[in-house]
Amino acid sequence: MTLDLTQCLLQTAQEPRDLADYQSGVPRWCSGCGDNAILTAVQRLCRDEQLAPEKTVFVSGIGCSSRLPHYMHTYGFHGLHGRALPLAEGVKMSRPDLHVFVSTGDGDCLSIGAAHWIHALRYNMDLTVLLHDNRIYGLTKKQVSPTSPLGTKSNTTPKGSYLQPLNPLTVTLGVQNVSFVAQAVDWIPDLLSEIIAAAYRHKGLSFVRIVQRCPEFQPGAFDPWVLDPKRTLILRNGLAMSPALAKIYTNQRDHDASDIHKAREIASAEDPIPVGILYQDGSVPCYEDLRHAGVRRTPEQVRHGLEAEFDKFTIWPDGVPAGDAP
Amino acid sequence: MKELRFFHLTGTRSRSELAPPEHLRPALFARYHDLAALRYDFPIVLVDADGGGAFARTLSDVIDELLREVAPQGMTGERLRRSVLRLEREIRRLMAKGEAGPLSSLWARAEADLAARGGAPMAADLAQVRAALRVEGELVDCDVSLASRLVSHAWRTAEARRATEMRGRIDALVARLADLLRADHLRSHGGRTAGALAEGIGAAHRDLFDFDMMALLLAKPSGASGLSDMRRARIERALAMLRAQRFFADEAGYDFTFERADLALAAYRARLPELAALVKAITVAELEAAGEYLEGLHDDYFKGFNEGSVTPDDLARFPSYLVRLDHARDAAGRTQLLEALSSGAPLKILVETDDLLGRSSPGDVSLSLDTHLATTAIGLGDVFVVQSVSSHLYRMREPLAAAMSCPGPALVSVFSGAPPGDLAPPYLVAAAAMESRAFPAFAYDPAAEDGAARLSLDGNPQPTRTWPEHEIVYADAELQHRSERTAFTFADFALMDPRVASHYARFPGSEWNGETTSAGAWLTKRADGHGQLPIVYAIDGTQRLVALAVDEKLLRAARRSSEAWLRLQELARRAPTEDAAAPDAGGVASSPAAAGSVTLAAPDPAAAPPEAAVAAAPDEPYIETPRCTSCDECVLLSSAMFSYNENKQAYIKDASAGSYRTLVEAAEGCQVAIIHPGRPRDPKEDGLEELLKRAEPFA
Repeated sequence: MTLDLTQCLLQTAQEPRDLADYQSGVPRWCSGCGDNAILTAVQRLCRDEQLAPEKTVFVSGIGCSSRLPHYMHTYGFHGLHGRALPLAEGVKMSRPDLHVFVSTGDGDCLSIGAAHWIHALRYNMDLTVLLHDNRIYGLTKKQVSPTSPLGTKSNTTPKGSYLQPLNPLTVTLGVQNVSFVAQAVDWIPDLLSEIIAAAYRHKGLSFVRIVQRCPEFQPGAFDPWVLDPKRTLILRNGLAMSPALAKIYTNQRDHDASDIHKAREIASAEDPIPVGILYQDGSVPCYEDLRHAGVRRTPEQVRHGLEAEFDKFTIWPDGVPAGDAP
Repeated sequence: MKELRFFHLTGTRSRSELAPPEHLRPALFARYHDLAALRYDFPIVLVDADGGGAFARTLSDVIDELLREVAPQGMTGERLRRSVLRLEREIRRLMAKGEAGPLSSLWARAEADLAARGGAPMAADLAQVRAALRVEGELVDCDVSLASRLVSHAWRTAEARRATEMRGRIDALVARLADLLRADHLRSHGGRTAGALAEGIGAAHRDLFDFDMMALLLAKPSGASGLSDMRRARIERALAMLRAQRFFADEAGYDFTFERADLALAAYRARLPELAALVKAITVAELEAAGEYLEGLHDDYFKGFNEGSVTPDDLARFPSYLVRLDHARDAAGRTQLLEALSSGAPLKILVETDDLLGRSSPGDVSLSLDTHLATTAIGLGDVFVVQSVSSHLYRMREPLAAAMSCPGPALVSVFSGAPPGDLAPPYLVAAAAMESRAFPAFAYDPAAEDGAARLSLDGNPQPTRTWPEHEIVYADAELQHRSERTAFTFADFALMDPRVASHYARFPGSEWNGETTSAGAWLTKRADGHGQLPIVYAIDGTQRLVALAVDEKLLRAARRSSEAWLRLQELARRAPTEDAAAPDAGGVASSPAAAGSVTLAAPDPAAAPPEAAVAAAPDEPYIETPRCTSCDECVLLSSAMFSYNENKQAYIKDASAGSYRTLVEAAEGCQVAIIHPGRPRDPKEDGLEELLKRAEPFA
C-alpha cells in the first residue's frame, strides 16, 4: 500500500530479476526427484511476477518437500512437523504485505498436520499452499503416507498397506470457506507453472495438490501416467497451454471452476488424473482482512498494553500504591 | 366563455369572480393533505457510523428491517408490527410538530408517549424492538435545511473514508520511521550509556544491575554503524512533516467547509504547496521504509518536487472542499461558482434554490437562472453534476455519494420546495416541481464509460414522456364518478404560488364544457387556433375541484420548461460516439479471453514451435524442452552437452560435446523420457550396436 508516486519510483529504480536471482544452493533431493520441477515452477513465478525477495516468504514443515525454502533466495521458515500452515498464518497475520507460500508434503499436511490443514482452509488467509504429494515418506526412507495406494509395500507395511488412501482434493472441497483448489502434476512443468501462478493470483488460501514422482522409493509408480498423455485430463478454464503441449495432451474437457459439485465429482476421479483449477471462489473473505491484520503499534502502545495486562497480576510491594508504581 | 378566452389571450380578468380562490393545490395532490399519516421517504436517518453502508436511510426502511429481524412471521408477530408502526407514525407526528434530534431520542420520546397510552404490552413490545435497534443518526424531515444537512453528511461520510485510509497510512509510516530512528539510537554510543541502558530495565529491578559496567562492555557497537547523517536528517524531516500535517488531523486540522466558492478555491490553492510537501514526505517515508531510497537517483528528483509532481490519483486521496451556497443569485456569485467549478479543483458545491420563479417584469413568468446552473455545469466538462428536488434527494443518494467521492469538482443543485410565502409542505412543492419538469432530477458523471451512461434521468416520473400523465378521479355536481387523464405541466405546478395567481382564472360556477382541453394537451398540439381553452385542475382548501383557465404567458413559460427537459432527454439518449463504440467491437472479438473461458489453444500446425520442427529430423538428438522437469539428471551427466534455458528446462547445448553413449545414458536416466538420442554421429563408436538397441525406446 503505497502512493502511486512511490510505486513509480520503486519500479524505475528496480533492476529486472531473472530466475537465478531466486536460486539458492544446490538442491539435496535425490536425482530425478519431482520436487525439482516444483522448485523451478515457483522460481519461474517469482521471476514472472518480479516478487521482491525480501517481501516473499516460503514456509514449510518437515519432509522432502519442506526443504524447498532452503533453495529459494527469499525469506524462509523451515518449521516443525505438520506446523507449516499455522506458522504461515502467523507470518501473514503480522505481515499481510508479504507474499507467503507454503510447501508441505503428504505426511506433513495430511497426517500430523491434518487439523491445521482443515482449519487453514476455513480461515482462508491469503496463502499459496503447495502440497507435494508423492504418496510416500521419502525423507525417512519409505514408509506409507495417508495417500499411499492400498497395498503399498513399505518399511512399516512389508505386507502392503491396509487402508484406502485419503483424497486430499475431496477433503479440501468439503471444508467450509474453501476458495481455491487445483491439481497439477510435476511432469507437465508448463501447466504446473500456470496453475501455481493462478494460485498465487487468487486472493485467499489457494490449495494446489501436486502429484509428484518419487524415483527413489516409488520408482516407476507414475510411469503409466507419465508415458501415456491420454491418462491426464486437462481442465480447460483459462489456463494457457502451448500448442505443442496441447498436441500431446489431447484429453481435455471444459470445466466451470465456480461449480463446486462438478469440482467434487472431478476430484473423486483418480484415473485419468485431472489437472487444472477445480474450484475457485474469490468472494470468500480472508481472516486477516476480517481481523484487520497488520496494524502497526508504536512502542508506547505496546508498552501500555503490556503494562495493563501485567498490572492485573502484579502483587504490589507494601506501601506502593497501584497508581504510583513505575 | 368569451371572457375566459379573452383572459387566455390577454391575461386580463374582466370580472372579479374570475379570480381564483386562495390556497390552491394541484388536483393530483388531493389525497396528500396529511403527510404525517403517510408512510413515505421522510424522515430520513443520517446514519452515524460508516460501516461501508448507505450514509442515509429512511425511517420506514430502518423500521422494516427491525421488524423482519424481530417480529415473527404471521399472526404471532402482528401485534409487535402494529405497535412499532404506531411508533413510526408517532415519530413522524413529533417531527411535524418541530421536534428534532437523533433517532434514539425521538424514539424514546415517542415510546414514552405510546407506552403511557398503550400500557404494559405496548411498552414491552417497543422495548424489545428498541433493544434490536442498531442504526443511529440525526433524523431529518423534508424542509428547507434538508439539502444542506444531507449533502454535508454525504460529504462527511466520503471524507471520513478518505481520511481513515490516509491516516492509517501516515500513522503506519510514522511508526515505521520512528522505529528506524529508535533502532539507530540504540545502536549508537548515546544508546549505550549507563543512563540509556538503565531506562531499558524496569525500576523494580534496576538495582540488580551495574549499568556502568554494562555500558563499558557494550561500548563498541557490533557490526556496521547506523544511519548516515544524510539519511537520518531525511527521515527526521519526513517524520516531522508527517506529524505536523493538517490535512488528516483530528485536532488543529484544516477546515474544509466554506460558504463561498472563491474562498474555497483560494484555500485549496494556498494549501497546495503544503499538500505537495506532504506527498513528498509520504513518498520519501515509503521509500525509506522499504530501504529503497537511492540518493544518487532520488535526491535530485525530490529537490525539484512541487505541486506539479503530484499525480492525479494521489491528489484524489486528499480531502475535498465542501461549499454550501445559500444561493447564487447575484451575478458575481454565479461567476465565482462557474470559475471555481471549471478550475478542476476538488470542490463539492451545493447550491440551494428556494424559489424557481425568476424576478422578471411583472406579468411575465420565467424560471430563475438557478434552475439552469446544473445544466450549465454539464457544459464545463469534468464536473460531476447532481440536480434534484429536496423530496427526491434520498432517492439520489447513490449519485450523491459518487459525486462526493469522485476526485474532481461536483455541483449539487437542489430545489428546497420552500419558496417565500407559506405554501403547501415543502415535500409536496418539491415533488410538484419535479413532476412538472420545472426542476427535473438528473446525475451527470463525466467519468462514466460511454456517453449514454454519463447522464442519467433515473427517478423522474415517466421519463420517456414530455410530461407525466395521471388519472384524476372526481365526483361532479351530480355526484357522478368522473375520471380524466391529464398531463402534469408547469402550469399545474405554478398554481400553488400566489405570485402567479394573476395568470389563472376560474370558471364561474362549477361547470365547464367541452370547449376546454388540458394545458398539457394544448401545449402538445403546439397551436392555439383550434379554439379550445387550456385549463388545469386544482383543489381548494375544502378539497373541491376547481378548473382554472391559464393565460398564454404562463403557457409560454411552461413550454420553455418542457423544452429544457427535452434537451436533457436528448443528452441522456445520446448514442455512444464512434470512438467509444470501437473498443466494444474489439471486445466482442476477444470476448472468449476476456470472459476467462478457454484459452487453451487448439493444435495449430502453422503455429507449431521450433522444437516440433526439430522433431521432424529423426537423425538429430533433441529434448522436448517444455516437458523437462528440471531434475538435473542430464546436466549432471554432461554439462557440456546439456544445459538449461532461462526457464531452467534442459536442451541440447552441443550434441558433439559427448559420445552417443552419453546421449543414450541421458535418455535412459531421464525420468520423464523426453530425451531422444537420434542417430550416432560417429559410426565407429565402441559398442554402437548395443547402444542403438538401447536407444530404440527413445526414438
